[in-house]
Amino acid sequence: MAPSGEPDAPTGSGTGLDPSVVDAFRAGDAGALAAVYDRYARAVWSVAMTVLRDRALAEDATQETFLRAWRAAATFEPGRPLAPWLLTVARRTAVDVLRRESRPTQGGHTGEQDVVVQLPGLEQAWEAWEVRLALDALPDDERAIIRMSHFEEMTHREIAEALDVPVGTVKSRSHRGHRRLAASLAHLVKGGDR
Amino acid sequence: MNPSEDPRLDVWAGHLERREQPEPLDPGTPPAADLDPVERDALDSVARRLADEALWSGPPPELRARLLAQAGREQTDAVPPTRTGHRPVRRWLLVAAAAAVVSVGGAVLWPRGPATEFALAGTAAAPAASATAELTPKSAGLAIQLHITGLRPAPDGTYYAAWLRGPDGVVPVGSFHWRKGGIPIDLWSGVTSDRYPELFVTLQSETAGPGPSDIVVLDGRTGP
Repeated sequence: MAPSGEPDAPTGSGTGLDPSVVDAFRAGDAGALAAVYDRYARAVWSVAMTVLRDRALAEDATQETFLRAWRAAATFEPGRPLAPWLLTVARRTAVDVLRRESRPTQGGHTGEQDVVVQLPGLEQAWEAWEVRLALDALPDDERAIIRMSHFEEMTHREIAEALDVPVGTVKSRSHRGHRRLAASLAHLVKGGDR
Repeated sequence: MNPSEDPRLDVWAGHLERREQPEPLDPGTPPAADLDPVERDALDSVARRLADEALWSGPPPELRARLLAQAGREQTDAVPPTRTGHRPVRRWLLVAAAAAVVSVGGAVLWPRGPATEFALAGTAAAPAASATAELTPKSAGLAIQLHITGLRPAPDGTYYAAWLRGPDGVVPVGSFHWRKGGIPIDLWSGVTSDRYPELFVTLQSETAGPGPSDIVVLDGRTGP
């Protein structure tokens, strides 16, 4: 589901930063840059990986995103949530890296042609951002089970053996975790107010 | 999971039950029947996202220090970001606010704990492999996070095991297979890195004994 214009934030998927930290970030404070990085580095990374599909390039894009945001922070409108602005910077930066990497090599050949690059849309970047923030907001034990079930493709029984807990515990944590995710991500799906 | 409680939860979590039991658990309950196609597509899209490496990997730990070093250089080079007319925020207020920043991914964000970072190099058995290790003392032991690149997935019947070694011996700290890769490996140790300063990873056979094999693939030390 496409976001309508710029995604509105803060969403239900996570808390924003304290306003004093955002103010300090706008003023160019390096300590505030650290706080912004700590809060959003994983989400920015997820956007970069969604666009680039390469860890080394995602690393470049993540660093460049925070530097660009920090350099341009004074242009960020006070009172607005930082997250959607940072998401926009992250996606643009990742796309710039993708275009740069897709450029023909500078080998003295003539008649270089523009390379058509398939750019992931804002919708994909936004979804990656929102889901990552929602995961970050989960308790560690629930996030671990969701990771093992979806990413590692493990069954309840396998997870229970891996964590050395009863299957019932895995099921209840899985249920709680998915319920929290559903609440946090209700805005991503139609009928989210259900 | 009661499928009728929230059909959205069944779309995301119901596959676990279906994996356990090939036959439908409750054929009489249509788990997602009251979801319209658009909503169902959106839920499926999130489910695909949850299986994506992009969601579960993260930036290497050294990136934070590199970013802050670059920002520091730009400030000292007199190329600061454009300033606003706002009065400076008091340092104590900033520190107090930042200290309240929530925990993400199980790690204290800022200020950070006394974490130690160091590099592990690939050995002749895995020359393309490398890793960084982040060691963070916690109340229950030493949390170790490995960020690995260039390591091949463990072949069937084998797995990787991580160990700490010191003058008093070798202690296992966890195992993994790296068949999907891309995400940090979380390990735990009940011994401290000052007495067990060497961290190494071996390739183990599932049928072999509990000790480290001779096939070391990554090796590093916390100190000189």
